[in-house]
Amino acid sequence: MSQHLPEVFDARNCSVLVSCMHGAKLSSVMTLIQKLKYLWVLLPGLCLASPAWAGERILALAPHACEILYAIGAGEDVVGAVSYCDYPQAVLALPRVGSYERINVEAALALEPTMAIVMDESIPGASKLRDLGVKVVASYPRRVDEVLTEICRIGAETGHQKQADALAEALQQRLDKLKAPPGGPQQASVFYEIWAEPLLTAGKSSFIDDVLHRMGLRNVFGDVALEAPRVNVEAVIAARPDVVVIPSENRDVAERQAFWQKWLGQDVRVIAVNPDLMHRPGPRLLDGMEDLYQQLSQGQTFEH
Amino acid sequence: MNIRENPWLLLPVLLAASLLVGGLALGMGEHWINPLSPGDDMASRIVWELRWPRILTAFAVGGLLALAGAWFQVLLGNPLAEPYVLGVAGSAAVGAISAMALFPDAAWVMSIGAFIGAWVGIAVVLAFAHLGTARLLLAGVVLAAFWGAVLMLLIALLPERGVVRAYAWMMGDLSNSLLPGWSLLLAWAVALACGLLLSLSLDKLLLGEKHAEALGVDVYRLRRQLLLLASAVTAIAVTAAGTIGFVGLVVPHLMRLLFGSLHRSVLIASAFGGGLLLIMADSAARMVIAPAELPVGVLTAMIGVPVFLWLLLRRTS
Repeated sequence: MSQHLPEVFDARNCSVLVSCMHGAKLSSVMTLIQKLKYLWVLLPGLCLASPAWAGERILALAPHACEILYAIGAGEDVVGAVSYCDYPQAVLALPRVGSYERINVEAALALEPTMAIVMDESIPGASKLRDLGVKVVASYPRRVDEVLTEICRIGAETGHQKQADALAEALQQRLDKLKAPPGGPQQASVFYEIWAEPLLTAGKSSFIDDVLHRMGLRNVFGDVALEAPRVNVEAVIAARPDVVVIPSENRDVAERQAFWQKWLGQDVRVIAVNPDLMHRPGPRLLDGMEDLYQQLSQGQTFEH
Repeated sequence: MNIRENPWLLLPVLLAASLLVGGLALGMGEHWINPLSPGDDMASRIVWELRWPRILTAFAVGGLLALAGAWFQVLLGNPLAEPYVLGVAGSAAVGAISAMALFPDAAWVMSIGAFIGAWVGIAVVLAFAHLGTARLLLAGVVLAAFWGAVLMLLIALLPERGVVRAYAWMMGDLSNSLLPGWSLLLAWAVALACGLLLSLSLDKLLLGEKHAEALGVDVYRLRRQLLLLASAVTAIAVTAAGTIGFVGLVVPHLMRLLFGSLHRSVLIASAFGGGLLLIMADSAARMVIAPAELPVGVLTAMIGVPVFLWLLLRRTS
């Protein structure tokens, strides 16, 4: 900071102060201002200047937050990510500062962030970041609608409101097309196999349940009041699904298809989806939903 | 003539109880099916391909764990001993989860990893077998802590979705056993027979090593045999069903409270009692929040602890 000091004194002008803050931590500037008490008059000017200030330095501490930031054009401001942040390509080059459930505060601060988008404010490290002057924004959409509102909110927080609103609008239109299509796969009952061994599915409070619901599909375990209930094969047989949806990760889809056809009859349809699209509450969710919708629409229709 | 004096009377009683509980468990589930005449094709397939293997696995694993617990309690001269006390479960879990991390696409590698892991753990423990009870126990407890630390390290490094699987494995699962039920039942029978052959020496060992030696027992050899037998049985149980707590600790004590501490009765009763407890716990795990399931380990403690505490109070007062 010391090399910037004379500049501030000479100019006594907040635009210079702001310009010298590019790349510097807001918190250290605040401390500086506290030390030089007679400069407190600059503070209102600083506050006025900050919304127009393009140089946020954002930590995207969840995979979906990463995708949203890049989709609304805030990608250039992202300075750090966490494990599993793998989309878009540019993210792979970013430094990692922990996982979405545990922030490495030192690594995070070394990137001199001004803002951090986290899954949950209670994760270890988040409150520390806030104490150190980083703006912490929690974002964890749990329903499809919340994905759209979160996109707008993150847009507003990062100064990319226009692009965010446009993106949300476009996604909303695509979402509306998936609803109640004439002759489409309405009311097919779906068993969503989140995990094969142990057999886990999506329950009432889950994001997947809402995704299926929004597409007019019936989740056969949609009334189980757990997020990811463990079920057994018998319970699936009793639930009589028309379709089994399988995220294509860590699983041999052909083997699962043979397994479910053995128990649910040859008529059951087994559809593989991309879990990164379906499980991540980000802008690519609609890609996943449209893919599932298209696979469902091919072949037979469901009468009940 | 009562059961306490003649342990062999236990056999028909426990066999009948097993058939009854097993039969009930066969009928219970999402559909209620009469296992003797299952009606349609799907019902009989559910009985034969889903419920029978699971019940056999539950019975055999429960029995094996209870036998191992009884042996470890004599071997280590410690009422707190249970099958996992020397770290075998920990090393098995490390094996299973490493295998899963290396080959995430194949479900069956976890069982193989668990088996290898269990035997690595046993091999390390065996190196301390000659050191005497107290040091063996100490070494085992420290090893268990070590495997626990490795386990935490693995879980910290695993991707999120792997963690789900790791925890599910550690909480025990009887529905996806790689080992077929009949082979586990065979292991159960062999283990029980070995136990009965050793039962007289075990009774003498219970009096203390000095007394056992005076009574003509080769204590060193017996202890090695016991350690190997109990560990092998634990390894099989862990491979089949993951780690299921509580059965191995409490069932032997429960059976001692009920039928006295002669090993012939304790071992017969534990082999059946452990199996019965696990069938009941697993049936309850399938039923209480149906169509969802609970991990079976939750239920073994919830059913077993109140029964055990009640018996403890009744016997001591």
